[in-house]
Amino acid sequence: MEQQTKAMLSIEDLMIWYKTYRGYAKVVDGISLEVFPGEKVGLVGESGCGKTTTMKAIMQTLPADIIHVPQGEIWFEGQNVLTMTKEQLLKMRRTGVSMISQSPLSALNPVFTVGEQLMDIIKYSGQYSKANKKEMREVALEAISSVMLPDPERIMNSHPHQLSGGMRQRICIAAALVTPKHLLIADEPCSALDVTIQDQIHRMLRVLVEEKQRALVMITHSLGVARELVDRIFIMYGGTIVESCYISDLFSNPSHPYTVGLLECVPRLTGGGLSTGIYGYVPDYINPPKGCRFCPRCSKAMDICREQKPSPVEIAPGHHVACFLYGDRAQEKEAQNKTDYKAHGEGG
Amino acid sequence: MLRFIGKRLMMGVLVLIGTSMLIFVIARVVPGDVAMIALGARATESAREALREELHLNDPLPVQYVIWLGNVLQGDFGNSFITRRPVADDVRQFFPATLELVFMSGVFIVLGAFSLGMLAGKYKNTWVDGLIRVLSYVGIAFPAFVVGIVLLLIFGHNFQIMPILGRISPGVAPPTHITGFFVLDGILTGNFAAAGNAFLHLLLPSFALALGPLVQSARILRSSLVDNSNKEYMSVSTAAGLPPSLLTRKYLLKPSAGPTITVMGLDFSALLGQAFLVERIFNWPGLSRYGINAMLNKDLNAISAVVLIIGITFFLVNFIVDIIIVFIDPRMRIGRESV
Repeated sequence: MEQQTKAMLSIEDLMIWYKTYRGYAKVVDGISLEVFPGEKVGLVGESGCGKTTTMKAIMQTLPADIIHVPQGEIWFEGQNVLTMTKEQLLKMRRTGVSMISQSPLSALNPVFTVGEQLMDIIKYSGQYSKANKKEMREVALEAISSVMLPDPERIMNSHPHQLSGGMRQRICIAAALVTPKHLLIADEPCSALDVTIQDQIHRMLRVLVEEKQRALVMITHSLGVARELVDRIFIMYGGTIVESCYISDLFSNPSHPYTVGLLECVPRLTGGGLSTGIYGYVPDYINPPKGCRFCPRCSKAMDICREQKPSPVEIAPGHHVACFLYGDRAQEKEAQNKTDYKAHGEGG
Repeated sequence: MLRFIGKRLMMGVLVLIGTSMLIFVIARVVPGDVAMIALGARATESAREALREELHLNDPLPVQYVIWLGNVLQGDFGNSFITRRPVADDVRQFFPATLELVFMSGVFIVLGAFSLGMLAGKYKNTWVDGLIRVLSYVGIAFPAFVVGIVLLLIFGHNFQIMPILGRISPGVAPPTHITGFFVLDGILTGNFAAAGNAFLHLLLPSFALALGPLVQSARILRSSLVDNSNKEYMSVSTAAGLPPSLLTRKYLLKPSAGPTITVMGLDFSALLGQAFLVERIFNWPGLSRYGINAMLNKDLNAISAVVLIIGITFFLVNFIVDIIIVFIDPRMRIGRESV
């Protein structure tokens, strides 16, 4: 609990449901995470596991009319985002948090030039005097060059449809970085960029965080990117965080069966053909599995996994796993479910 | 941009030539002897034959067309059989009345559609949205002439607060003719009494004419706004901390306005045709009423002139709308410049 006062961002037991015609889709199911100043945190999981929804909840940009938040709190710099006034929210968006969208092709307004959109962000950030157009223009041009785009003047005057996907993605990054913010949420910022640019962007993000005591949440589904960039990692599955640890622990001691499966999915240069991978798909969020959400796909599932939700257990300093295979309860139950477990093991 | 405008203008000329041919042929193949209608049953056969010769009715159609087109290009539409005056004079008298009516409707459509559409979009799925939806169904389902009669009954008969007939009260002298728009002429000549009186006469018929297109455009704007408000770029701009009023006024409205403006342009030009029934009900001395009379009486020259003028107006309005759209949405520039 002491950590909460220090954490820049802390999410506590957050649930987010989407209203649908078939009922509530329980997309985020009790997530907790913290991010500290100067820290680079990774959020990894399959598509549709709730990463982006969680991050948009921080920005409060989820469509309010189809969203229901039955429980949870989001604390940013000592304030609960969910109960902020409009003014506090605007201030947080202007100086506190910025987010790089994952879809570069639709993240820019099609009817305004890149320059106009950047200038508005700069103008309303409250960090430059509104009269000084020249200074603001300099800031915008600098942001464009900082993401390795040539000829910033021309790009300022271009409309989004005149630029390539990779250029637009870099504009999105520039727009998120154009004014200084404390926390940067990067939602797969490099998906459309080639590896050389990707590497430079990652380097830029790292410098930004390390030199200016900012914080970074990097959403990705590439463990390689995570290994290269982040200090700590959260593995998400089906709207829950199944494992969180320092990045080095992830590769030396992957513990949750899902994490193990994810690592096995990464092709290796040392051979061995195709990996075993993970069978099945992400769960149905309207009628999710009653117990552990991963249990239908888990080769080590026990009876208890179908009945109860596992809560996180600390198996090493800073290494939490939400799985009945670990912790005290697991040992009690394991003996009792041994036969069942064996049967599954042979089947897999 | 200039190339786009040039191409559009050339296309417009082609369309107008096609329209003129079509209307010329249709007006002449409609059954009925023109000379009989024009001169009456008691005229002698030789007199009728003389009229046919004078109107070149005995020549082949293509020859007739070329003669007619030559005259039209010099501003000569021939004489009307009904009013027995040059058609050009009739048009000069009646067209401003219709244009004034349609223009005022346009003002209603633009103001009403944008305010109702934005209200419904802002309060989507609330009672405000529901009320505007019901109003839209009513407005679209009821033809303009029914709305006109209802307005007359309420404001002219029950409350007696609005004038019911004509462009100006019988006791008030029309302002000096400058543009033919009574309200505008009144203001220009400083005759504010006449301008005010004409304006009151204008309100009911133009509103009756505007209601259908108004609510239809409002519905279109509402759905564009709702669609676009779920776009990723809106979420990104919101996350960037832009003020909510700027988000709606600028970042949401501009990409959403295109379809609405296109439909408004079509509606606006269609009003010229629909104005007939409203002009009839409000005894408005306009071009539509003149045109229908011409058609019922097979008044060849008048029919051709009226249809041609409506065609030209239709083209001009849509030409302007196209240019507005291209200014609003840069994505259209590439596509349209190659047209």
